[in-house]
Amino acid sequence: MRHPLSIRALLLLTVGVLTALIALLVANEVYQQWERLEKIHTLKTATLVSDPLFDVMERLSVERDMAYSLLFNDDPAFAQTLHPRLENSRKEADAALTATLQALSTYDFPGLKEQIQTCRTQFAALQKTRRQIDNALTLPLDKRNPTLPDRWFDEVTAMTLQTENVWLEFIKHFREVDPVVSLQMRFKYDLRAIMENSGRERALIGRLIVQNADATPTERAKLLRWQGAVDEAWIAADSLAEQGKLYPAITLAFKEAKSHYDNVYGMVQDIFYVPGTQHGANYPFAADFWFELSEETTDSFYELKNAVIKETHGYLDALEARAQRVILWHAILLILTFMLCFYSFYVITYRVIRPINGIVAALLAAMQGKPVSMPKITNAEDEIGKLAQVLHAFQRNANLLIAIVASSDDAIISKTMDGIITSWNASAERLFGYNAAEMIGQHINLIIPPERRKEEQQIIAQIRQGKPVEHFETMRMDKHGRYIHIALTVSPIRDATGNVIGASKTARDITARKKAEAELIHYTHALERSNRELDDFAYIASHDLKEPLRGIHNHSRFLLEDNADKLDAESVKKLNRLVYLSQRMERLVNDLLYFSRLGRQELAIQKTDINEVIHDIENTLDHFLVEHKARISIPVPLPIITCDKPRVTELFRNLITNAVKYNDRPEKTVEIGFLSTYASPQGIPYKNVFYVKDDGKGIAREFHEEIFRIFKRLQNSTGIEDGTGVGLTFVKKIVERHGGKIWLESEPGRGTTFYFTLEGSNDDTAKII
Amino acid sequence: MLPVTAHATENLQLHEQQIKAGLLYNFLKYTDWPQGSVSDSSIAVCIFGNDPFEGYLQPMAGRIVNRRQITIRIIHTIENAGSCHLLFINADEKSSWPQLLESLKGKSVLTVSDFDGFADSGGMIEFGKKGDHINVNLNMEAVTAARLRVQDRLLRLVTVVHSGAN
Amino acid sequence: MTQPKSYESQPILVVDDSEDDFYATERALGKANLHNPIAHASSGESALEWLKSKTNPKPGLILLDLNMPGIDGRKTLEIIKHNGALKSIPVVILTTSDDERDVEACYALGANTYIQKPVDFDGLIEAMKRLKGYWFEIALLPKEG
Repeated sequence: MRHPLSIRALLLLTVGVLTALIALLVANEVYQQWERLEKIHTLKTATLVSDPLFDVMERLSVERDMAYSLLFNDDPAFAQTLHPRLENSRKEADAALTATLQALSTYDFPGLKEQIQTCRTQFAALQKTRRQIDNALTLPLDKRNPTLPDRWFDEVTAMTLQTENVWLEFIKHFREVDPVVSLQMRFKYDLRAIMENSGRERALIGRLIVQNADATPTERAKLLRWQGAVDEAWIAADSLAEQGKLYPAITLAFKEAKSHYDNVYGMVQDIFYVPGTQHGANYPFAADFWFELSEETTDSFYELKNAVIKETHGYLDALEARAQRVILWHAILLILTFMLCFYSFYVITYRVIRPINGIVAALLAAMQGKPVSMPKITNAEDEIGKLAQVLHAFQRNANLLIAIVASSDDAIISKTMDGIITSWNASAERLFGYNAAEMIGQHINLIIPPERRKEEQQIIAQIRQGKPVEHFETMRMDKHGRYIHIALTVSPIRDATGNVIGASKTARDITARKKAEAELIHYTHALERSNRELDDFAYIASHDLKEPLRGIHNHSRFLLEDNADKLDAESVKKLNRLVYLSQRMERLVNDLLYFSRLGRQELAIQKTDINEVIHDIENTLDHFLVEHKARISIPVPLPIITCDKPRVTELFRNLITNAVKYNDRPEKTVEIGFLSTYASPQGIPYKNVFYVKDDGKGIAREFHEEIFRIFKRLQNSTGIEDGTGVGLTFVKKIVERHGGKIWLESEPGRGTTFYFTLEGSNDDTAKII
Repeated sequence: MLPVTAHATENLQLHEQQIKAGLLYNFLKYTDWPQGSVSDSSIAVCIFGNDPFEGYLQPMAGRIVNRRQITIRIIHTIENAGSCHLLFINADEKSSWPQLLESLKGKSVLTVSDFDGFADSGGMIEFGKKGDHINVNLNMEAVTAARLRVQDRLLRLVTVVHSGAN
Repeated sequence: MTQPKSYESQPILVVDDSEDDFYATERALGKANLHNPIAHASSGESALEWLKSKTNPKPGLILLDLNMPGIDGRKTLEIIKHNGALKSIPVVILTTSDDERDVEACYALGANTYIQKPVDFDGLIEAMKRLKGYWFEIALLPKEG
């Protein structure tokens, strides 16, 4: 069977795959942004070249315009003022060009080598022409080469155009990277057109002023054309600025440049641009004034150019910053992803899987009956912690149960519904002689005697219904084949859904009990037999004893009756004595029989009203009481109790007759009463005490024990021996059978009070109702 | 565009006004007013008296110089003069000039005019003629006194008088 | 009321193993003015023999003791009361036992009366008097034959 992936592996795999995916996406984004960044850097580098290039073009055109005009000048004063300016502009042009070439060589841009070379060649040629101009300026006007000005003009124009090409080459890069930047570059190109055309205007006007000449129609047309070009360029520039997001940053600079240009060339609009005017030598200012004035427009153009450059740089910087930011955030994201990945690994492994494995191991060990403790789960607040806590508590309970089962004196065995033993405790080992290893996995029939195997079916059937089997006494077999008496209690084991999946048996060795029971039965039977035999014996004995006594008695009497006249008084007396003695013997035998029964027979407990009992006794002893002038006094009504009524009647009767007999007063009183609490002179407290009190002779202390002994009697008042002496013995026995106590308080001459209780600690006692 | 006439002198006259009007822009561009005296959004060009520029100054209204918008005002009373940056006094108002000058004391107003002796009487820039050419005289003393500063560009267009060296 | 003459002739059979007790009973019967002929059987067997003997008249009454050797009184009673010829003879159990079981058993077996022998002779006389009063003056006995 294929090994399925563990949860741990699945989780780790999932986390790993997710992390990898995120990493890939992020890396891709980073790569793209990096490339863009590279392009932006290229652009920024490009501006390092394109900016000076722009300057080169501008400075060259200024130089061109000035030199051009100068070549037509013959006024030394004018030459004197303008020449330094020419020098200055040459210097500036050179500086710009040097800077450009330096930048071009430092930053190696492919595909431009040719162009750059052409630039250098032209520059060398320019130097030559400059020297020619210098030469020409030293000559008088008519000696100068008439083609030089135009040649110069064209040469410089060509160079600026060449520079423009190089500049355009750069702009290509911008187009690829960002449309906005590209538009900004086109704006600058447009601005270049404005500056170029206005430069041409400047040059032509300058020449006209210097020559003091009127513009020819052709020249005027040129001027107008150039001006038209400038106007169009202004409009195009405005649109480009809009699209290239240069507004509102350059709005004022743009407006100022246009204002300045409009102002200057507006100033001379009527003079040079309107056809039909003839001014000749009447230009309102000199050429140097014009150059100064017109050159001032370049200030505003430069301000605009700088503003645009600043904007472009700012824009590129923003792009760069954005790309960098994106890269940074993606890098952070990547790092976070990896951190999260590792953290997930950690959590999965250490907070989930490892604790779970620990818990599983602990539970497995616990299931095998070994008490183990749950692994320490550090964070007890999370789900696993709670699980561990609960399982720990559960396992402590389980340990407790294991301990209980292990330490139980009873054999505890659990089995499946098929009868296969699944657990076997120490007491089971002791009882059956098999140890757990031998029994677990075996069938329960191993310990069931063959003839009792049906029992097992019945037990299982009952268990299946969910009903336990309680205290089923049967026999089982131990390892040596010995039969053991056991009491079985079998309970169903249920699973979580309530289905019965097994049974738990408790087997108690009841051999000893059985033996004890058997002995008890044996002894009980023996006792019963003995009692019966005694009863029979007593009965037969009394019967057999009484028969001869009856004979003696009768024959004595018959003798008396038949020979009354023949016998003397002494003989009669002796015969009477014989009769009396046999009667006495009979009474003794009866009393013995009664006494023996007293000890053996059960009490017939019934609800008894003691007042009634005394009343009956009064009736029965009516003659006796009258004869002895005795009366019974009951100061307080006596209670109703549960007791053996006949016996208790006998008890009272004995006490009452004794109280009367051992009394030599002319009038005798017997008081019968009941005290709910009584403290004896020794201080012992008693509850529910009856008493029979007389005002008779009293009994000396030394006889208080003896009087209860059988057949012991004291002399009665008349001196005639009467009674068998068993009365008090009866009384004591009856009290004791009821579980009570009897004692007396008496002193000679002070009467006697017998106290007794009829209840004790056993159930067989009188109870006050 | 003004109608073309054959009179060169007249044309020149017109051109002069056109040029003078144009030059005012340059004065504005290359003069520095002291901190706080010029607002950031507008710069006021005032004409004391009637407008002598025959409409040539009008196009300047709304143009931008030094990042500020130009506003043009025609004023007739002395009191309003102090709030201008550049005040062109119409030659016809020559008689009001001393009073005007008095009231402008301590204020940073660039005073320009084209009547003769303007610069000598405390005016800062005076338009004149040198032959056919327009001549611009700048009274440095007056300029400095008003705490104004002119840049080199402007100096190249003018002739400095009353440099204030004494 | 005086006893009908015919009753006087019917014998009373006293079944008792004790000579003394028999003598006492006999004497008491005399004292009670019962002058019927009195026969004595000292055991159950001899009682049955006597009863079955053709020479002996049918007794008007049998006084039967319970505690006897051999066939005891109860058995004798049972035999008498199951015997077609004998069962009509009234049997008075005269015994020392007052055991309820004996009383119960005897009545169940068909005893007509159960009397506990009084402890003294006077009592015995009194008992016989009453016996006479009931069995020989009021109750009718089955006819001889």
